[in-house]
Amino acid sequence: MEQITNLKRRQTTQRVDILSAQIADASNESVIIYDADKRIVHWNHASQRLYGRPITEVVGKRSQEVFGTLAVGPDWNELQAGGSWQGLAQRTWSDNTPILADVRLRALRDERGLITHFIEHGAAADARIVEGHAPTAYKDWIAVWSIDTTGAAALLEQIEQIRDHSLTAVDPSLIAEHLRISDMNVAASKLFAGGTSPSAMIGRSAYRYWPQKHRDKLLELSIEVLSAPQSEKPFMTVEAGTDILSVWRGTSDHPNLISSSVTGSWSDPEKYWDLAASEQRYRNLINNVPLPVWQVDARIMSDVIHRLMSNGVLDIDVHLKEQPDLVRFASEAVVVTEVNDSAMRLFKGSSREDFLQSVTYLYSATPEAAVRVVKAHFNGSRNYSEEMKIRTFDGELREVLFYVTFPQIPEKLDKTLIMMIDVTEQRRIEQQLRKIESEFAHAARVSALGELVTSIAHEVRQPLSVIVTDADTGLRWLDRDEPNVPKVKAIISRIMENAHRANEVIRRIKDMAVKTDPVRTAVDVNDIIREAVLLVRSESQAHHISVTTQLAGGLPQIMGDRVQLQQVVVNLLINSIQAIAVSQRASRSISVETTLGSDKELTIAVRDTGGGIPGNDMERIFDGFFSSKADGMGMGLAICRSIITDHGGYITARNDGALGAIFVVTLPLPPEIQNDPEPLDPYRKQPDNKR
Amino acid sequence: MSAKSPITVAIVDDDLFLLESLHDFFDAMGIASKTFKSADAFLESGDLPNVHCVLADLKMPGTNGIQLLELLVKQGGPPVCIMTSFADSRTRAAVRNFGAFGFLEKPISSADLLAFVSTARPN
Repeated sequence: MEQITNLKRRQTTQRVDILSAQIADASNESVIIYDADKRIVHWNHASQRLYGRPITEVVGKRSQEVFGTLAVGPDWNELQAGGSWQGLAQRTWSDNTPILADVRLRALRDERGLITHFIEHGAAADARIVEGHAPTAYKDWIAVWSIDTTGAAALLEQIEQIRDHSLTAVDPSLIAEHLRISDMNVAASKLFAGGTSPSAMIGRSAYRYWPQKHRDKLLELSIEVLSAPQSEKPFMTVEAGTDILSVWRGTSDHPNLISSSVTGSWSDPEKYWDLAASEQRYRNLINNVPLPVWQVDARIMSDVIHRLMSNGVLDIDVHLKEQPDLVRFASEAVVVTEVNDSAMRLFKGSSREDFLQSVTYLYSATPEAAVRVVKAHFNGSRNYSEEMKIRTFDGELREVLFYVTFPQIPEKLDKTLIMMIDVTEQRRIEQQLRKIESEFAHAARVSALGELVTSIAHEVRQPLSVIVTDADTGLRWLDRDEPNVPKVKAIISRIMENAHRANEVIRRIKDMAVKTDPVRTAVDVNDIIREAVLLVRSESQAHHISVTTQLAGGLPQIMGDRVQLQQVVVNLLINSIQAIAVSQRASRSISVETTLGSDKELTIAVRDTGGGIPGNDMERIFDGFFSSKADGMGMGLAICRSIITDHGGYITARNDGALGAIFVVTLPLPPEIQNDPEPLDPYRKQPDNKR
Repeated sequence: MSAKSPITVAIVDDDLFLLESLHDFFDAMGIASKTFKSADAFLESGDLPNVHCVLADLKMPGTNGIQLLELLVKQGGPPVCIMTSFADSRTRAAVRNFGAFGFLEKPISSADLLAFVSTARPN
């Protein structure tokens, strides 16, 4: 609980310079400044607490006048002769109850060696120490930040002009972002900045490095100091619990420089010990997590992002295009502060020091990931994850799932956590599975084709064999001296019969592909294409071919056989895939496009980059048993044409220059739609049932 | 047994056109032949001791060409020539390993057919 006991603005006194008074007031120990005449010129807050008397009551008085004649110590003679005195002083509280104080006094001299002041530091003496032991110095700490407020001052001035001096409306967080550390003492760095060297802290947000429980109060005091006229040198101080907070303005040559301090005592350190303990727990957690974990100090990046935002940058993509170095700068400035053993094992490093450097090594195999991390951070995401490659210290590439958690106020902003999960093995197995799958699909197709070829070969060769043998037999009968004409006639008629039989086989194959009993339902051509693309995906991926679709919206449904139409699209896609696979071209893509051609028809166009159809083949490609492929049966396009013709449409092929082939399927719309621009209900598209 | 033909060929195939066609061919060549529309019909006919060689299709309903071949080789029966309209290398090897005398692919070359019959002819 904060208790503000004293909040006042004090002007410079004639007797003691403001800086001395400020230092004194910032101390948790009693500090009393005497002039050369041993009269009190300054008396800090701790003195008031220790002796129960306000400064107004003691200024100008000598020690005996304040503490009474019964007071014992200090020995002023020894002090004047030796320059210092240390010991126990017996004094009184304001109600005359005795107090034992442990005091140290020092004489301050000017250039000529004349005593100008005496400074006394004092604290209540511990009763246990009085039992004859030497008193130990009262351990006190003071953390001091020197703060550059140029940005905040400008902001305040601006607001003041707009708001007509009503500072109540100032958003403190806006000011907080403009308080930049220009220096800090060792205590401040040790206690509140994790031991970072003060020079490395320059330019960072003072607000964020103030102890969290005092931030808002210190900000409030800072705003008050900043709001005071430039001519004044305000000094604000409050007690907050057992700590004392102070903010003051520095010298007039640096009007934008203010100082802040927090003083505390080690006698009440449990809050900081708690902090240290939780820190330790946290560190243990990181070390014991069986996942590779990095703790990263990304405050520089946070600062950059805050600056960008306050400069009105809204679109980080645009900004990164204009400032391509920003990400590199960020990666170099963001450093790893902690790393666990799992992480070291993942990167195959042996020395922890190799890991405690800028984060660039995390992104060395996937530099674009750093860009995406910056974007996610800018967009205020709490977490970001992606699958990426890393390069271990011995040069190996591994696949990992990368997770980063950005800290948010009021958490510890210096603790960005990065985790990685090594998925190299899984991905390798998956890739193998995909390969097997695609090989299997290919084998299945080949074996299905092989079986078909075998059965066709058998069916056709059977009558052919009859024809060949009969022809031979017929010739032999005719070659006789007396040709056996009736026998030859019978044989020739069997030849004809078997020739028809062979032809019948071919007709039956076509019937197998195009069912004689047509199914006609309302079908969505775009859906059919999406499914067909999925069906050939493993095949297209195996050949590194990208298949894109550009499907016209609001396409009316047509009447057709879903399976047959899908077979057509799959056939065209497989044809294109095989053409590209054979051509070995660098450009490997297939696009499927649907358009509403006129009010009577729609078209499906499949274009590939397989080099196209040789000019003299163009005429024959839709004929049965025509194939340009070594192992092709030449049925695919013939079947496609039969199916499309059966649907009342037509299929054409042409070349797209030397790039590849374009197959265009044109299908008629149902008559109702041709007459009516608005599709009728039965043909309305059903809600998409996507996988 | 015909006087002018020293041998009789058994033709086993499920295709009746082919049976007739081959029978007519052998007829034109003055070679006696008996036709069977399946291996089982041939085995049940009791004609086995009367034939000098067997021309059998590979794929037939019931006992197929290879099984017939196996059976006849085991019994020390007449030489067998297998006919087929489609054969991969594995089938070819199997046919050879089972001890076939010949292997003819359809459409059958008359010269090959006559060569088989003449080598199968007993002294």
